[in-house]
Amino acid sequence: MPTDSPTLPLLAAFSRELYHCSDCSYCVDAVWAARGIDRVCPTLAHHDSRPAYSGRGYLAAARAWLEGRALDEDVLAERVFTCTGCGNCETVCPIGLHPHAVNAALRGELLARERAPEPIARLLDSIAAEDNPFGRPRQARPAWSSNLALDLATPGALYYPGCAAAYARPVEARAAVTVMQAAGVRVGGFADEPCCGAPARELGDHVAAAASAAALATMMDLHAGTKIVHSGLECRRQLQGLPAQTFGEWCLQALDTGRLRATPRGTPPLVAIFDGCQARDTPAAAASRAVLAKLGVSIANPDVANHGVCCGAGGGMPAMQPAGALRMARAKLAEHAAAPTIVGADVRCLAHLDAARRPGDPALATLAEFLVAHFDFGART
Amino acid sequence: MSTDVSDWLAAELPGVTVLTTSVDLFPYERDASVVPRGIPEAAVQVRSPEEVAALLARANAHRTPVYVRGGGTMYAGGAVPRAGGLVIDVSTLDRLLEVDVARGVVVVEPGMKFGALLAALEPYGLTVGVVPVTAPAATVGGAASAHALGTGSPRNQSFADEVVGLEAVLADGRVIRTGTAAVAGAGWFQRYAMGPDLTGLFLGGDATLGVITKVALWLHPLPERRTTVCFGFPDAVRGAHFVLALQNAALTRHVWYGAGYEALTIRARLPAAGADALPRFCLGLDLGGEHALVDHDLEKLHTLARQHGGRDFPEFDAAYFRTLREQQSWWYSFAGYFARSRCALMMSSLPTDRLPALLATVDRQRGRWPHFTWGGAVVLCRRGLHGAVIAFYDEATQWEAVQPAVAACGRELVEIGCVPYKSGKLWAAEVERCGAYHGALRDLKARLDPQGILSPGNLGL
Repeated sequence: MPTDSPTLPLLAAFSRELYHCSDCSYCVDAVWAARGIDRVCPTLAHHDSRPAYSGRGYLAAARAWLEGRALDEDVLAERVFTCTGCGNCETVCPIGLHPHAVNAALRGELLARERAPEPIARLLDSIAAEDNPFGRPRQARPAWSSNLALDLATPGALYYPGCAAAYARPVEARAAVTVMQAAGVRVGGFADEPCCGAPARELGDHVAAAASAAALATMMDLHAGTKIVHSGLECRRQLQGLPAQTFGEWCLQALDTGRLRATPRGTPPLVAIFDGCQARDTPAAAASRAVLAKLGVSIANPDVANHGVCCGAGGGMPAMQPAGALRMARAKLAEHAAAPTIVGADVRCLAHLDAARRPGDPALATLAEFLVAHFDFGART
Repeated sequence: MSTDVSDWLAAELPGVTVLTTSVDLFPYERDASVVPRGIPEAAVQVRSPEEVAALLARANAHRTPVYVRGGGTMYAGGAVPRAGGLVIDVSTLDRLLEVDVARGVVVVEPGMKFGALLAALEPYGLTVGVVPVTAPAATVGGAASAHALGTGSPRNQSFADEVVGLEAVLADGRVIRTGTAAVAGAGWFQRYAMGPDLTGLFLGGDATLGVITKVALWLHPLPERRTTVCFGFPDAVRGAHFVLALQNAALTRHVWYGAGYEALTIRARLPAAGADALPRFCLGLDLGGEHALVDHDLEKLHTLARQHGGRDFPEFDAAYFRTLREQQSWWYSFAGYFARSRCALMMSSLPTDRLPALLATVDRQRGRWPHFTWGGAVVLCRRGLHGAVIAFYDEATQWEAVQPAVAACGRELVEIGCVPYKSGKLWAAEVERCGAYHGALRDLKARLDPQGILSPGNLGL
C-alpha cells in the first residue's frame, strides 16, 4: 500500500490518513439526536444513496487510486464534483479525519487530468474569463452599487460584497452599505473588484484560487490598514490575514459600541435562523444571532443544530445536479417553516433558497436586508 | 446460465438499480474489521423485501454469491465479500414500520439505524433493550444478524434476546416470518409459540441462512434517572469476584451498561496520578431506572464492592466513563488509538470467572506481538461477560503482519475458555473446530441454501 505517489501528489498528502479510517460509517449516514445530527450527507439524503458520494466513498476511491487500481476517472469525477462541500463528514468523524479535504484533493487531481465534468468546466471557464461563477460579464459586477454614494477616495471602511451578493443578490450588498452609512461610516469599495478565489478553491482549482486571492490582496494593499467588511461567507477563508470581518460581525460591534442605533418600525416578525454550512460554528453565525437578540427580535430556533444538512447551494451540486439541489432547498425551507421569515447568514444560500421558494413559504432575508426592512437607524451623535 | 452478475441483473430484474462501476463498489469492499478486502461484481441498494426476494431467487438460479450489508460497522468481516458476487445493501431498507405500544413491540426494516430508532421512540418515553456502541450508524438488521451487544447487555444480555421475531428471505426467495407472526394476521407479540424457535436461525447467522427484512423488538420504558459509578479493585481476580457477586444478586437489573478496564487503560486516562495509587482493574457502571430503585442498588453496589476489596473510583468516572456515557460514544473510547491506526477486534463470550485469564492473554499478546498496540476490555452481561481483545495496527504498513497475530490470539482465547462472539469471517476457523456443532450448521446450510450462495465464508460455511 503506497505512502507516496509522485503522480497523485495532492492525494499522497493524505496517504496515511486514508489507511486510518476505521469504517465507522458516520460520514455516510448517522442519526445522533444528542448531538443534533439527523442525517450527515445531503447528497445521499436528497440525490443518490450510493456510498460513493459520501466521505467514506471518497476515502475508498482515493485509496484505490493511490494503489493504482483500475477506476473510471469520469465516473469518479461525477461522484466527487457532485459533493456540496458542506463538511458534515468531517465534523462528524470521531477520529478527526478529513474526507472533505480528500474530496478537494480528488478534485484537484481530476482537474490536473482535465476530467472536470462539463457543468464544472463551464463554471471554471466563467471564473477564468469573467472572474465569477455565475456566467455574468465582469463589467456587470459593480452594478450593485449604482446610485450608492461610495467614498472611493478616503473610505473609513471598505465593503466587499463577494460574488454572490454582487451578482445574485445585490439587494444584500445595498442593504449592508445602507446600514453602514447610517452608522456614519464612509463606505468605500473597489473600482474593479476581483473575485476572492473561493469559488475556484471550492471546485478544486487551487492554482486559480491562489492567484485570485493574491490579486485581491494586492488590491487591498492599496488601502492597507482600512477595515474590510464583507458579505460573502465563502470569502472568509480567502480574506484571512486581512483586517476583514463579516457584515454581521461589524454590525454587532457597531451596536455594542453605540456607533449604530437601531429602532424597530413596529414589532419585527418572528424569525428562523439559517446559518448555512460556511457559517456553522463561526463567529459570523454567532454575530448574526447576537445582533438579532440584541435588537429584541424573537428567534424560533435559537439552538441551531451544528450538523444541519446543506441547502444545496454548495460545491458542485447546483451545477451537477440541479434537481437534487432543488430538493435540498425545498427540504431546508420546510425545516424552517415555523417562522414567517428566515434570516440567513450566507448570501449564496439565500439566493439558492429564494430560487426554490413557492407561495406560502417563509420570506427570506439576509441580516442586512432584515435590518433595513424592519428598523430605522441612526449614528451616534 | 450466465455467471456475469450485471448481465443477469439487467436482463432479469430491469427495474433494479445496480451499481457496477469500481468507484461505486470500492465502499463495499471492507467493513470495520481486519478481514481481507474483497470487491463484489455488483451491488444493489434494495428498496423493498420483495426486491430482496427477487434478487435472491435469481442469484440462487445463477449460483451467484450474495453478501449482505447494513451499516458495515461490525468488526468480524461478515459484510465483506470474497472476490466477486453481489452485495445486497439493506441500508436503504430503513423504515420504522410499527410502534405497538399496547403490545410493547416495535417493528422496523433492517436498515434502520439505531440512532433513528431511538429518536423515534423517545417521544413515546420508550427505548429498545440492547443498543450497540455504534448506534448512530449501526443498523438494526446488522445487530440481529451479527449479535450486537452494548448498552442494555447487563439487563438484557444479547441483542438476540430482545428480538420478538423476524421476517427473512431464504436463499430461494421464499419469505418466512418467525415468532407469533408466523401465523398470518397474528403479528409479533411473543417469540416462542409453535414448535422450535426459528428466529434463532438468523440471529447471529451473519446472513448465511437467510436475509433479514423485518425485525420486531421488545420495547422498554426510558429510565427516569441515569447515573454512573466506577469501582476500582487491586487486581482483576477481586474485580471478577465482585462482578460475579453483583450478577448473582441480580444487581444488573438497573445497569444499562457496564465495562471493565485493565490497568493500562486506567493509567492512560489518569496520567497525572501515580501508577501505584491506581487500581489494577476498574468497573464502570451506567445505571438507569426509577430514582428510589437506582439509589437502593447503588448503595448495595458500594457495599458489595467494599466487601470485595474495591473502592469508589470517582476520578475515572469523571475523566472517562461518565464523559463517554454522556457523549453516547462508547465505541470511541479507543478513539485515541484509532487516530493512528485501524483495529483488529476479537469479541468473545466468557464466563465471568475467566476475566483475569482474558486480561492475562492481552498482556501476553503485548509481549509476543510488540509491534501492535494491544488493548482489552470487558462488557458486562446479565450473565457472563463479553471480552474484547484489540490489536491496533497501521493498515498501510502492518496489515499482513497483523493477520497471524490475530489468528494466534483467537486460538489462545478459545484455549482459556472464551467462545467466539460476532463470528463473521474473523472467527471462522474457530467455529469450524467445533465439530458436531459446525456439522449441524453445515447440515442446516445445505438444506436452506443448497447452492451455498448466502455469505460464503461467514461462520466457516
